[in-house]
Amino acid sequence: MTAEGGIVKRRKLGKAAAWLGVILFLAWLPSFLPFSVEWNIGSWLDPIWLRLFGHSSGIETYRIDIGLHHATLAALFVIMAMGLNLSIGFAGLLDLGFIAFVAIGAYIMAIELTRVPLNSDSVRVFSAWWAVIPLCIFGAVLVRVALGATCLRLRGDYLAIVTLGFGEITRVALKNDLFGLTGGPDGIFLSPRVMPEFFSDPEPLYYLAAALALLSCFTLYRWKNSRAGRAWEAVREDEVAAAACGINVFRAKIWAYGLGGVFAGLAGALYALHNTTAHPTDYDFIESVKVVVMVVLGGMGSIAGVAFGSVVFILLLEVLRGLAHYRMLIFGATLVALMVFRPQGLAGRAGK
Amino acid sequence: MTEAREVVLSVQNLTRRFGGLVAVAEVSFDVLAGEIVALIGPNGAGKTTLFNVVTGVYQPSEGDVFYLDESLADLQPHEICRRGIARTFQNIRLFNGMTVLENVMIGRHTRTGAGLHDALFGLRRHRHEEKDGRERARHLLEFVGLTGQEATIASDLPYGHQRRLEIARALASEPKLLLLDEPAAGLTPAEKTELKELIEAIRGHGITVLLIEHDMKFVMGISDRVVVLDYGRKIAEGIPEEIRRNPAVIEAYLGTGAETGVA
Repeated sequence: MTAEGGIVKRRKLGKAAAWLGVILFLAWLPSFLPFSVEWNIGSWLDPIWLRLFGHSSGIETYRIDIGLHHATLAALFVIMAMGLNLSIGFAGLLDLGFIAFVAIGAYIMAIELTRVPLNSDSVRVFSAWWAVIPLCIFGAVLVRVALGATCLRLRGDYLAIVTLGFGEITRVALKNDLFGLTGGPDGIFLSPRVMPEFFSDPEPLYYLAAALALLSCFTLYRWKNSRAGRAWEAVREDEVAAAACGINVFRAKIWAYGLGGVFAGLAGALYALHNTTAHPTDYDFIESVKVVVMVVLGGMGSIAGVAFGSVVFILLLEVLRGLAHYRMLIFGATLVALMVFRPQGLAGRAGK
Repeated sequence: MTEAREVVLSVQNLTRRFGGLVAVAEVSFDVLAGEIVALIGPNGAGKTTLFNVVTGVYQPSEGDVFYLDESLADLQPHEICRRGIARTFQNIRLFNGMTVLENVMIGRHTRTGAGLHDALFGLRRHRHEEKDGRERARHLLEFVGLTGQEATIASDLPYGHQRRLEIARALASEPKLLLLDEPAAGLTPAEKTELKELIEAIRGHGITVLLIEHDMKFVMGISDRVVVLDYGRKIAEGIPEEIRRNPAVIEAYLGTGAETGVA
C-alpha cells in the first residue's frame, strides 16, 4: 500500500514537472525567436530534380526561418486540434468541417471590431476586444449544437460527409457576403485603426495563445480520465454497449461535438487577430484537413501527442519552406510514411 | 416457493415483428426476485430479440414488459439500465481499445454523476467518485476472477476472460436484474463450471438472473425455472425436470417422434 502510494506520488510529481517544464519553455520561447539558419547547399538538390523533372530547382541556399508568429500560429492550431480531438479522438465523431466553426469565431471577432462603430456616441455592444471572445465561443457552439442535433444520428462516413458539406457551405456563404456583414471575397481587414492596442506588439498575442493552448490541453487532460471522458470513449468504441451501460449516447455525442465549438470559437477569435483579417480563403477545406491531420498525426485521443503533432506539423511546413515548390511533395511523402510506419499516430495507443 | 416473492420482471403478451417476420409472439412469463431463470429454444426462437425488447434496443410491437411494475416499453436503453437492469451480449461487446479497469468503470456510469466542471477543476465529487469507482471496479474484477488484469487492453484478454469482464461491467451498474446472453458459449468445460459458480455467487448477492443458454447440461444444472421458446412462441415453462420430460420441448429440439417411432 505504501509502495503503491509512493509510486502514485512520484508519478504525480513527474506530471507536475512536465507541465511546469512546458510552461517555462513557452515563456522562454519569445526570447529565442526569431530563429534563422542558412546553409549553402549549392546544386546539391539539382541533380535529383533535374533527372526527375528535367529542370533546375533553383535552390542554392537552404534557409529555415522561424518567427514568433509561427509559435503563435502553432499555439492556435493546438487549440483547434484539441477541439477536434474532443470530437474525433474522444467521441469518434469524424468531423471534416471543423474550420467552419473557427471561421464563425473569427468573423464574429472581425465584425465586432470593424462594423460596430467605435466612437463613443454610438452604442457599442462590447467595450473591449476580450469581451467579444465569449460571443465568438457562443456563436460557434450554438451553430455546432444545431448542426449536431440534426446530424449526430449519422455514423462514421456519413457524418464526415455532412460536416464536410457544412464546412464548404460556410465558406461559400462567407465569401458571398453573408447578411451583408462578412465582406464577400475580400473578407474583413482589421486595419491598425481597429486592431486592439494590446496587440500592437506580437508578444501579447503569443502569450495569450500559448496560455490558452496550455489551458485547452489541461482541460482535455482532466476530461480524459473522468466519467464524461470514459463515456465518450465508450460511445466511440461501441454505441450499443455504451447505451446498455446507461450512457445516453446522443447526449454524450452532442456534448462532445458542441464543446468542440468552444475551442473552435476561441481559436477563431484569436486567429482573426493573428491574421489581422478574416478572409474566406483562410477557411478552405484544406484547413479542416490540416486540423484532422494534426489529430491523426499526434494520435487520436492522446493529448500530448496531438499537441506535439500540431507543433510538428506547423514546424515541418516552415522547415520545408526552403525547398520552395517541392515543399508539399516532401510534406505529403512524410505524412504517407508516417501513416505507413505509425498508423496509430506519434503517441497513439498501439492496438487494433 | 411458498412465500409470495416480488415479481422483478413481467413479460406480458409480448410480440415483436420485423416486417412480416414475427420474432417474438405473445410471450408471457414472470421472473421472481432471487431466481435464476433460463430462456432456451432452438436457434432463431426469438430469445435475443426478447432480451433486446426488455433492454430497450427494440420497442415491443404489442404487449408490454414491466420491471417492478413499471412499463419499459417507451424507455431508452440507458434509462432501463439506470433502473437496474444490466445485460451482456451474445457476441461480446466490450470497449476494446480501453483497459479492463476502464471497462468496469464505465459500467458505473449510472451510479456516478460528476460533471465536466467537477473533472476540470478536480472537485471533491470527481475525486471521490474516481477513487471509489476504482476500488469497486477492483473488487468486481476480483469477484469475477480477473485480479491483476486491470491495465490490460480489453481486446487482448483471452475469450473466457472477456466474458467475465462483460459480466463485471454489467455488475458495476449495481443491477437488480442481470440478463446474460449465452454466457457459456465458447467456454471450456472447466470454465463453464467456474461460470456456474460465478452466477450462483451473483444470485447470492441478491441479484436476479435471466439467462439465455444453449448448453442443456449447464441450463439444467443452474436454473430454478426454464422458459422455452420456439418460433417466437412460449411452448413450455417450468422447473428443469419438467422441461426435460416435456414432449413439446423434445419435439422442438429433436423433431417429431411420430416418424421415427420414438415418442
